[in-house]
Amino acid sequence: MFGRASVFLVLGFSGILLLYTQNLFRFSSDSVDVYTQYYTNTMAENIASSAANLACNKFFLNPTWTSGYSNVSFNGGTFSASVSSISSNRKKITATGTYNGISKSVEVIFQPSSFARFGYYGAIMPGNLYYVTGDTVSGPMHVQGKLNVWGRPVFTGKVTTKSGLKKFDAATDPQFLGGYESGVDLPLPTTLNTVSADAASGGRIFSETDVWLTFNANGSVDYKVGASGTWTNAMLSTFAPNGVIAVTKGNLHVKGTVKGKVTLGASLSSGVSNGNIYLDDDIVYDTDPSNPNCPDMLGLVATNNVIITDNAPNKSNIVINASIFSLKGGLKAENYSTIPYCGSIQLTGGLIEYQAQATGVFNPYTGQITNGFNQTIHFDERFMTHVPPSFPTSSSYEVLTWFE
Amino acid sequence: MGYSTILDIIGAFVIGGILLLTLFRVNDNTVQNFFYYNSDFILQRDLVDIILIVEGDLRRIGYCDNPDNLVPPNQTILSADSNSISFVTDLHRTGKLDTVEYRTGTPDDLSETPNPRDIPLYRVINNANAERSVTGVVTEFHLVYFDALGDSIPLPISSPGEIQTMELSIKVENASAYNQNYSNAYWRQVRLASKNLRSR
Repeated sequence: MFGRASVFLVLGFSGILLLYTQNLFRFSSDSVDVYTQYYTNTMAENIASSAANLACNKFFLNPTWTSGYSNVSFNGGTFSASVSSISSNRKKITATGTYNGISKSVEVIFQPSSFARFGYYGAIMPGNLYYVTGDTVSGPMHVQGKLNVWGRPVFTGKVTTKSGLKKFDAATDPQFLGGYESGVDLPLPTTLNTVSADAASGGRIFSETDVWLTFNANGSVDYKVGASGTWTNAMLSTFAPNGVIAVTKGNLHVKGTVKGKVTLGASLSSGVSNGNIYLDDDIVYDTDPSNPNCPDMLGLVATNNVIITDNAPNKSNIVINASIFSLKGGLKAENYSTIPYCGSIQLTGGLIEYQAQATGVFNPYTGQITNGFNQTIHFDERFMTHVPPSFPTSSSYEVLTWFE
Repeated sequence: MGYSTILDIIGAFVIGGILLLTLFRVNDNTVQNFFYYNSDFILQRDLVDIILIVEGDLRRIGYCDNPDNLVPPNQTILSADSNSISFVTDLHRTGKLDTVEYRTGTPDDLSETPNPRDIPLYRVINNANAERSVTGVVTEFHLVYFDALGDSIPLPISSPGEIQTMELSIKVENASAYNQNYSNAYWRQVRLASKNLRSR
């Protein structure tokens, strides 16, 4: 009797054990399922990210590309991508990757690449001009040629060049803190028509005359047309509602305190005697640009040069808050070789120039500036995401923001 | 009642005793295994849940649905340390930037759990109350940062704007254990990058 009961007990325990074992297997398979789910999610995200990269590449090569992708087999899954316009100059790529029934999306927003996003851009780098030990270049930089380096200059932003580096010797070791890439072809635009067009429609444009502008901290501007003209005051919001002020076949003379977002253009020159912007004194923002909430921005866009005027106010330093763009020249000091030492050019913004111009003369034995100015250029990081109105752009697009 | 009956009874006691002892042992092993398997499953599920949240957030550093509200890439990471990071992102895709901070607490914050090593992982959004921002329980949350050249940035980091990629390690353990044998699960992403940190 007891022996039979024992057999039943054994059978009963065996049954209970089987149930436990089944549970244990279930937990094991559930644990694997958790990681399988993570793997599936990751694969779907990777496929979507790859699709976005492929679409971006297509778009960079051909900004008119809108055909997108539809159900393309890729790495065990599929992807689709589409291009849409979200504003007059912004585009969005939406890429979707699907793997084992799980779908993930990546969205990328582009806008035309603005030259204001450079701390320094040089279309031509003279062969005898080197960045040397002790030089520090702030912000992104591009040289549409070879970048000449000597020793250990420091570049804090990403540096791109079209034709690589020219190192002075084997010991030269430039410090690219933001990375370096060669083979990037980014030419200057051929004209500044956009600035003139925007000034004519919604801004203020002057033709075949020189114009003097003095900006005031209250958001107004004093201006006069021609050297013998009379000064007139106007609020910027009514004087140039879109913030673009340009002169064609003339020069601009500017100074003061800018409140708001403004671009000043001297375009469509005929010869070098016009199409220039003269800096008659400091031109600064109402709010310190080191403040991330500073709402003020200034673009100085000249077909020829941006020139520091040889006058009394500029004999002791000059402070410039602006991104400077020069299509055929650069930033120069008027009579740089004959004026006395005038301190430094303190530029907070960026300098985009065709070719570096002289701003001073230095004694090769002492390394000291004897005539003209030293230069200190500090990139205004706000230009990475926001730029002055109608500031020149390249023909390509750049990624503004990436969601995945 | 003869000898055979007595032998039956003795045999039944012996067999029953052996079965009982076996039962106790089996029961103990079963409970232990059940605990391990169950806690492993919970542990791995917790780890994956934490990873999906943290990895998703870190990949969106600097993102904003409204590009007009973007901040420069070098200002998107506000602070960074080996076990904490604070950054801005448009968390809910509203077009406005939020501040997100990941940081760990101390073992004292979880003094009720038997595991002496577990610590809360806080995900503080827009400087909200940290106690209400626990996103998981970990025993390790470790970050290493790299610059644009791929070189690790030594701590303390004075310029978070230099960060281009990061390495994230997370380890989780059971809150309690059978016989003090804590199960653990470990995850590491060796190069985690937000595209918005290198948007040019």
